[in-house]
Amino acid sequence: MTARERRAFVRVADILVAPVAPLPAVRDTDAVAALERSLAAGPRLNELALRAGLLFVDRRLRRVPPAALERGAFKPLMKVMASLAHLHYYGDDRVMRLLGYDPDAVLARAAQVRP
Amino acid sequence: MQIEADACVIGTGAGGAPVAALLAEAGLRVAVLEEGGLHGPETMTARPREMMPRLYRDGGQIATVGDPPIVLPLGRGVGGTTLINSGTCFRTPQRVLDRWRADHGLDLDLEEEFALVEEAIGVHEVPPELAGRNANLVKEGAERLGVSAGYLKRNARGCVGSGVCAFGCPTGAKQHAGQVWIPRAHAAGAAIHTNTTARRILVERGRARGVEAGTADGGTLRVRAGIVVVAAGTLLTPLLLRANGLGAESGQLGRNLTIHPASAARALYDEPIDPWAGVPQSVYVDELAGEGIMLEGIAGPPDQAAMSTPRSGAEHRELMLAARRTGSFGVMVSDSAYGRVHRIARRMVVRYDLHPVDAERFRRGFELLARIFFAAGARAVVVPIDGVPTLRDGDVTPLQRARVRPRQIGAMAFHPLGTARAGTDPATSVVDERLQLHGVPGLYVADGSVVPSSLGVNPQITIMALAARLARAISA
Repeated sequence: MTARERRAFVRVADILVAPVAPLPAVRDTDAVAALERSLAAGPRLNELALRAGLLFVDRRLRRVPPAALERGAFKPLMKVMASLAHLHYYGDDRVMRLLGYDPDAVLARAAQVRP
Repeated sequence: MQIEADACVIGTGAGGAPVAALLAEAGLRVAVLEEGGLHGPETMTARPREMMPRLYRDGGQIATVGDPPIVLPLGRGVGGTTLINSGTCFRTPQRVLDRWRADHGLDLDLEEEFALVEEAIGVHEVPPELAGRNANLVKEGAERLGVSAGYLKRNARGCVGSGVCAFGCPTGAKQHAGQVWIPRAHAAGAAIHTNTTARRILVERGRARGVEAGTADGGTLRVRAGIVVVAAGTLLTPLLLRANGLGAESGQLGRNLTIHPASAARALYDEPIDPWAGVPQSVYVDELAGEGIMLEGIAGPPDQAAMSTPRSGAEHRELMLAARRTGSFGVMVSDSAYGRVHRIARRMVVRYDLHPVDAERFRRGFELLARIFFAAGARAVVVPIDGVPTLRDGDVTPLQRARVRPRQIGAMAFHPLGTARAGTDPATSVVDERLQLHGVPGLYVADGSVVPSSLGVNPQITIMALAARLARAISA
């Protein structure tokens, strides 16, 4: 992703996730880096389409509220953007722990019983 | 590089892995080709966002083209999609077997094979203490309403309820195909080639003669074998066959795709239930099974929940801030529609439109589920149907009154089936009742693609039983 695309994702995710305390801002999580890993794992065509979609949604959201985009022709695109934002933001370790889920505790217990 | 074998098996999922193991144990020289890598339990991180790019084909980004688009996650690695499934085990319903006999001429008695695979993969009912509060509340709610429900059977040994079956079991408790059958195949002498992609099926004088595959280092592996078993999965098997000019005579290859569209609703409780604790898919509600509607548990860590929770912005955030108090449960419907998989410009394209009848099934399923949630003490219920507001105070009227169109439903699907369906008539099927490609001796298919219709239940036992039946027939 380019620096412009990274900034666009942070702005779009901030709108779609709408974090407030105690949740950290999107820029204070590892959401962008995680998104880059996800895009790299998918087909090149998906990556290009998602990056273009991200820039498009970022531009539109500067002019209209998200609710306007979530209706009509752009609804499928907004659903994809929301899924990307939600998965990559809430997958941050600090955010997961704030919500009560501790993956390291799961792993520690698993290691004890693993054959 | 060229090797000689009696049988070459393409794929290590629910179909390929048992075939490989049982053929090897019968004394055949078996070579197994697996496109993905080996992922041991010690490599799992209990973090869905991190595991999806590692374990899911195309990073979990496969989706249907149609109304609505439906995400279709597939596994990629030793074990195939069983590596990332929930482990739920159902035998093929008798009504489905009866339909196969009537519609496709398939006279299948799979009792012995069911027993064999269930023993091999350790199928047993989820004990209540491992089911998790999320699922136990649904079971309690169902019991209060007099609705039929129970604990699911699944393939696990030593499970402690890590809650991340779909993102790689970190204990090694889930007895997926790569955990059970592939070690058995290896122990019996089979050669397992990971990171190796089958490209050409070699056919000489009308008979299968082997497979040519590409290796991770750019080389070519040629396996000479008189028996070839294609088990690349419902979406990839028809593409591989078609690319080799095989199986297309009936016009059915790649068609008849069913996927079991599924979705999940959320319930907000007063008390913490920690939905990520316990077996995510541990309870079923089969009250509406006769109508093609099954309710099954689904739950996971916050990132998994966030991705599939309806709404966005502040409303979504409030649901997430209450994640410890938010339950979830799924609705899965038997398909009324058929889709198709094909290749356009070297890309796999899955075409599927949700049938309006199935949209109504979702509405019916969510209505029952909402009643169950409320009976279990939920304060609010959120269903993934556009235009249906959050249900509160036990009132399901907005859902009852809704006229739901397919595009309003947020759906996923986990069970693609049928794209190389079995049948006795070569004019309407791709493989015969022995799962051999019509007209090509020695070439077999053993994965979800041969399953001729939607099952209404999770398919791994059906696929494994059909694969075991094939292995017995070959080695007899």
